[in-house]
Amino acid sequence: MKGPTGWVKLGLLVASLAVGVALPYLVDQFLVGIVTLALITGLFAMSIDLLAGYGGLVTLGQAGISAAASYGVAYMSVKAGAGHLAQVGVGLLAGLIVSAVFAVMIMRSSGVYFMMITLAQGMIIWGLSIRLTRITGAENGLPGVDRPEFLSLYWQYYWFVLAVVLICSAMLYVIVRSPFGLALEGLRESESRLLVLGYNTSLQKFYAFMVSGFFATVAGILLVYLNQFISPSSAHLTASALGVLQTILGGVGTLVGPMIGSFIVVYLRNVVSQDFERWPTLMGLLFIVVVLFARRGLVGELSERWRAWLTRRGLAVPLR
Amino acid sequence: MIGAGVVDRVLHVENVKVRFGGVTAVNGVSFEVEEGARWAVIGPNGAGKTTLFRTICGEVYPTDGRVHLFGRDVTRKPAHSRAQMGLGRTFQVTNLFPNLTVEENLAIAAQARSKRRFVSWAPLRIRGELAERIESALSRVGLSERRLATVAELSHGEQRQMEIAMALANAPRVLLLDEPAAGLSAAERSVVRQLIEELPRDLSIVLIEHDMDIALELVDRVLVLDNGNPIAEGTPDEIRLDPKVQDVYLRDE
Amino acid sequence: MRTRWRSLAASTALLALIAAACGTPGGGTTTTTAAPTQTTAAPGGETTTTQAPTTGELEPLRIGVLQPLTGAIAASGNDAKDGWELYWQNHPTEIAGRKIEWRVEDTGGDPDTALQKVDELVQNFGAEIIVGELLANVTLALADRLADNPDVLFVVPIGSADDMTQRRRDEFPNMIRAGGWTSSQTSHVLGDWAYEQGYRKVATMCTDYAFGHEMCGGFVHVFTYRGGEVDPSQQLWNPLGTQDMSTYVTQLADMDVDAVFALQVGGSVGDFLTNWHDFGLKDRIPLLGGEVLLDNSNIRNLPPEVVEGLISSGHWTEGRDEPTVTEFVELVDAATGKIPSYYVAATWTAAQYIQAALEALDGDTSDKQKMIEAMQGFELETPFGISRMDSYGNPIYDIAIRRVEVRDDGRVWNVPVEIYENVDQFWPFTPEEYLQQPVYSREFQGNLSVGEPAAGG
Ligand SMILES: Nc1ncnc2c1ncn2[C@@H]1O[C@H](COP(=O)(O)OP(=O)(O)O)[C@@H](O)[C@H]1O
Ligand SMILES: [Mg+2]
Repeated sequence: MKGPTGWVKLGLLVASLAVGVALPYLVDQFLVGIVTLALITGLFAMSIDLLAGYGGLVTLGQAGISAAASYGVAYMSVKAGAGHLAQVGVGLLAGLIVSAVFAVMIMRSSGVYFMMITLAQGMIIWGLSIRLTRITGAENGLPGVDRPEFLSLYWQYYWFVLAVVLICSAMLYVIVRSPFGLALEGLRESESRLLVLGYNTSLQKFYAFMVSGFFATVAGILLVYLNQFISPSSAHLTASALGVLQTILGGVGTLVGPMIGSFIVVYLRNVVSQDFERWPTLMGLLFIVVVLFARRGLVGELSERWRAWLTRRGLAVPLR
Repeated sequence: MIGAGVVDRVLHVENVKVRFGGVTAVNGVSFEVEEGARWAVIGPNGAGKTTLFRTICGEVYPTDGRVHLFGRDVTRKPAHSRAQMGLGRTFQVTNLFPNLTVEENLAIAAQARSKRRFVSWAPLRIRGELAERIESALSRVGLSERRLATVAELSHGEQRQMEIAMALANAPRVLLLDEPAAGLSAAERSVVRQLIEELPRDLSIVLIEHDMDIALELVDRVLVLDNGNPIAEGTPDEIRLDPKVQDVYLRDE
Repeated sequence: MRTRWRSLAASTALLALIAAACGTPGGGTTTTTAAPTQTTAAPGGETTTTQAPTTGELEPLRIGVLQPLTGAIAASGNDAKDGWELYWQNHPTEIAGRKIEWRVEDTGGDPDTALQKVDELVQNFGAEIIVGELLANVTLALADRLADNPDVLFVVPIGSADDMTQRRRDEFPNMIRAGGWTSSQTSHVLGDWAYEQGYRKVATMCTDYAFGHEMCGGFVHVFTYRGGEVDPSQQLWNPLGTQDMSTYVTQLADMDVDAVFALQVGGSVGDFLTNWHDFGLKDRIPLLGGEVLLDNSNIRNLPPEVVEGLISSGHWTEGRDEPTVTEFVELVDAATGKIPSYYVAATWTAAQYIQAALEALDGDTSDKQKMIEAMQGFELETPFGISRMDSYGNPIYDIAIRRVEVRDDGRVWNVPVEIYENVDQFWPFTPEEYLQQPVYSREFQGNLSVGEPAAGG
């Protein structure tokens, strides 16, 4: 561990893991369900962060990918009546194929063009989900996606989701610290420099998009089994934008930030909204406050303050 | 070199023309760089020097003419392929990764031509040859103490030195330096000059320098551009005495 | 750089730790599949026992209401909420010893959110009855989620997806449409009326989604069954959320038809009707509105000259001169300053049904099937007039052909022109013949003038 920062991080990690594992014993079914949802949308937001925060590629179509995965699962479950292995397999395949097609489309773009293309991609999936009535059930969606027996109870599924999200987080943690992850940050900082250093940046974008798409796919599969339902609204721009919003709220390029952003948004939408009808206003205000006063997002700003505090005491160690 | 008279030609620019819409930025430039040679491309502002570099690197494809690198025609090859072959460049306008540390910047450059750059399933570890290259680049430009600072935190002078360090960490065989001393004070300029002088002798260098005096002291051959046109080529002494060159520089003053 | 390795190793170790920890409490889960003994150790063991005691102090009856209170259709959702709350403000909230408690929650019009909220209402709040929602797709998602839970009664006053009480009725045993309707129910009547007026060729202009398909199909089916003609190329479909309807209106202007049937929702309504008026079509081509097009929630926001005189059909007719209706309209108007839309009437009626069921069963709500049976037996005087249920759990109403009129106070409302009595969801067909055809869709409009196979043909 590197200085005080490392110990603080370790402490927070241990504490949140302990609470996370013990959660079903501490709170009721409803809250466990809420945390399950937050973990899944957090993973979704992390997949956005990999592209946006590390690669500087702000995607507005990520929900299209996870929705494709959800539809894959739901179709196999509801319409084809296949087993769970086939459901997950088709879900993975659907998410990855859509990712690959999208990746080919974006690999030569960047900046605003990247945003516009991904936005269009997401809307294409949304449009298809409304049009392909026989596969998707159009607006009515596909209900009745049952979980396997051993995950049917809410707390069983919670632990399963916790484990999958932890594994995915660990993978993402390694990826952003790998040689590839470092070069991805180079892409955010200066694509032209990367090119003359010898990086095939198109290939790099393709790969980054696929990796990000993989985690969005996993999130989509987890979500459809949680809601046991999928409909076009899951593919809509609103869903993609919400993921970006969670990422910005928590802190772009921090990985843990998007997860925290996701907890905040889910809490506002599913808990605060019970007593406070104008929760979207509250969320808008929070977003504005964060953008104005904590430009790096909550986690980004906190760790920056922490670093400054350490520096004043002469305890500073570089963050990275 | 083995074999009398056979000198390896690392870079061959053949009658290159670059047009941007109505503007002809480079108009029929040719030159050949032999292994270990040091060239300068000089000329007033807007002469087309940077555009020539961009063409050599593959950032811009020429309207006409050919570029050969290590004996291969690379005219239509993308920039990253040429870099993989051993072509490096620095930028006139600093082009680094500002929010990454000095060390991380150099790590990106150092791993760029190794298979390791694809590794995404294990954390980055700089060891062995890559580590040595980063260390030697750092000590050459004198930034060893600043390795943990982000590039954005460096002074302009330090950033200019990082430009060179980046190229060195990338271990190219041919290095294009685009006005490495741009925007520096006189004292800083002499540091950069010394730095260039001390670069390994087996590295072939093409140097763009706006300032004729500096350029001519550092190289064995010079190409002079004016308004996209090559107006002279020769040894520094020949160039100093060339009346056409004097015209251009006097007119410019 | 080496420290990175160390922190990674630390986190991996932790991961292993969790894996180990996971094994302990859920140990039974991972090794043996479902040992009954493990349920005691399993979390959530106690929370499931929230049943009402049968003796002594009676448990309150908890009702969860789900409506879209934010988002694109928030205005309608808030009307629905008003109807529900106004009912209980004007009626006792303790019936047969049971106190009525409710919670209204916002779905945002999004099915996923609705599913999360319904879980919360059932598990956390302890709701025995869920009342909702407004959109057909959200309602279907809720119906499906609640279908597995025999302890919950699902009351659907607004969401009108046809199949819920038709071909898919058996999938939702605990659902009833108290105060509700099916999308095509009121359009069927309009199809008949249009033919009676002497219209022989009609074009349609509907929103391209399930609700639009069903409303439009209801009209086309009966109109062509009576002998009218609808050319499929004259059936225009606009995407949900279309802002600019002028291109469609110009297309309609060029068609040689006797009348146009139209169904729009949300923001498209105002734009469509304004264009229809501005292009001078209002006086040239008779417009026949699907119920929602000319619902008071829409027409109250438009200039009277744009809507005055327009015809539609509906189970809700705010200008009907009957005591139950006028009293209700006056009460809502006094409380909210608005002439009620059908959303207000629908949730009010749902509350009325719940009260009646509670009284009939003397406060015993333990058997939801008994509640449904009771509701199916009632003949209630509601803001919709007399409401009875068919055996599929869908109401039978007197359905009116309505015309928009300007009241003395300058506001607009719908008044009845002609009333079709006792119209059920299959009218004018028998359930058996009707249910042989598929549900209305863009592909299947029940169009007998082009030889589509359909009921009654
Ligand atoms: N991308 C471009 N589009 C249009 N004109 C350009 C472009 N890049 C350079 N030029 C023009 O080409 C000429 C040469 O520019 P440059 O190569 O930057 O000159 P130097 O580096 O010698 O100062 C200038 O007139 C410049 O305006
Ligand atoms: Mg230049």
